[in-house]
Amino acid sequence: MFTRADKILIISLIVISAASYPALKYLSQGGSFLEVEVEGETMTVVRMDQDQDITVEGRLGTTIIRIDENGARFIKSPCVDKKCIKSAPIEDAGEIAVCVPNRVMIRILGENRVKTDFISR
Amino acid sequence: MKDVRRLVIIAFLSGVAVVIYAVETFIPTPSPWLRLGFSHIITLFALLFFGSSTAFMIFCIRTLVGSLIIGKLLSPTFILGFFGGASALMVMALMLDLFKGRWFSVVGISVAGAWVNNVVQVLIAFLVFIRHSEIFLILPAFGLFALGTGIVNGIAVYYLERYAVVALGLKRRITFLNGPNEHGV
Repeated sequence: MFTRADKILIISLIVISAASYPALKYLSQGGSFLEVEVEGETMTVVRMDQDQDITVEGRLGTTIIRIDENGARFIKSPCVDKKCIKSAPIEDAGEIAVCVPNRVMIRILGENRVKTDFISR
Repeated sequence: MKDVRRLVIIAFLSGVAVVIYAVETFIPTPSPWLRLGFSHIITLFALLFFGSSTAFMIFCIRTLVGSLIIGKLLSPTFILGFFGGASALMVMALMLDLFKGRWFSVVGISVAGAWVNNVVQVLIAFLVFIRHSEIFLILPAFGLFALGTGIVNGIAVYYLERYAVVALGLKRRITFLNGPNEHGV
């Protein structure tokens, strides 16, 4: 019932499936970047896939933004109420976080992702 | 008379395919978007005996009526299933015309069809519903799943074809060199 061509087809499809996974994994990430704006001007754009701290000077003083596996968030700010530090880290394209007193805004660049809670059929 | 015969065949096989399509919904799969695709047994069977236009007719009726019954008409499942199935049908018809029964058996053709079906579904899901490239990460898993269902469906068609020749006296359009011979054995 299985001819030689069938077996070759099946084995090559298994190999393609197995081999394409690392390639797809590699291609599907690296899409997101973090843009840091101070008083409406873009200060820097950095990759999201490497952990780092970014230091920028705002109106009041020095703000530090940390990128790690949870996303990007403010960790140090000279503002009074520290709301920016309390807000959740951002990681999906289109999300923003701001520190209004210090005029710092961070935004994730990339194609807009529709966040899905649940998929039914 | 020829037209009446064709009509009856389309009606009968569509009915069988719709029932398979609807009942299959109750069988759980690892992901809600995965279907076992047993109704493609009928599509491939029709392709083997009655040609691509009849098979396409049956496929369209099955998809329309079947998804109407399971309540998924015009849902993403329906749209993905339609385009996936149509491209699978195209590939299987092309393979039959191109190889005319050489090299690949029905199992190989079924596997190719199932694989194309799932890959096209992921592509269309990306283009129409989920515009995020991370969706391609499920391609290998969907491909492997298609391989399994393709083999099972192919084996089913192999025996169904043999039965159709021996018991129903149907004429094959294509004889597989490695498949059952004229006498169905």
